[in-house]
Amino acid sequence: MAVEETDVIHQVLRGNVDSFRVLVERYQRPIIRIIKNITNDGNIAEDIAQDVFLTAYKKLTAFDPARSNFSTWLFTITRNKSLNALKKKRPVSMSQLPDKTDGRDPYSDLSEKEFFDKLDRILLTLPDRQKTAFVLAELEELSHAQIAQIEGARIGTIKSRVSRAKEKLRAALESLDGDI
Amino acid sequence: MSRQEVYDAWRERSRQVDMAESFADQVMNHVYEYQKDRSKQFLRFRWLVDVVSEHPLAQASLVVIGTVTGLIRVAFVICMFLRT
Repeated sequence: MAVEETDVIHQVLRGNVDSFRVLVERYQRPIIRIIKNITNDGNIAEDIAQDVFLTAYKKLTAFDPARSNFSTWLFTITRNKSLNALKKKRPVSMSQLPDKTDGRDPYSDLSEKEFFDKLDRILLTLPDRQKTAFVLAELEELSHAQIAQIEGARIGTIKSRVSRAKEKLRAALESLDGDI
Repeated sequence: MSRQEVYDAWRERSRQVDMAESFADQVMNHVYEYQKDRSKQFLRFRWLVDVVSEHPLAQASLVVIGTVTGLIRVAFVICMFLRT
């Protein structure tokens, strides 16, 4: 698959614009998913994703296969654009976080959607580095080594960020439901 | 429902993607537009190169412009030197 991808990239660089569609179709879903989960905004995810692909096309000559996989390079652009979009949005205040409940079953008070929305908001309030590491590790299931390249950090640092993010989500789950 | 089940269900929901079927087409349209603009710019530059290489008057004008610019630059440096 990696060889085929390199061939596609060479074709695009030789002027075969249509070949770029292969890359778009291969990565459109993970790209949109990463953006959606980092920004927690499905409405802007496709716009940002289009920007990611256009940037990738413009800068394709700068992609060096000796330094990273194409996916790692593309996910790095995605991560950066998602965080930029997030900075432009209104910051999430602590008042938007779910209130601590009195230990009742969350499903007696909240619909599944409401409960998940609260978890989404907790994810949104995580520090950027923890959030991106968590999204890439837990939701995209990328290796820690690949995330380390995307984030420009050590593998140990990434493990620690993912672990801290999970702890916060776990703590938030506990504060939400008491003992489900 | 256990805590792990709640977490897994939320994680599974977060992995779902709703996207327009025409997304790839939209991206490719942007790419084609960009490529078209780039080709236009290249053609404009190419036209300038052709004009200069085919017309001696254009070549002479370019040399004059270059010389005048160079002289102005030299004069500017001399003025700076004399002031100090």
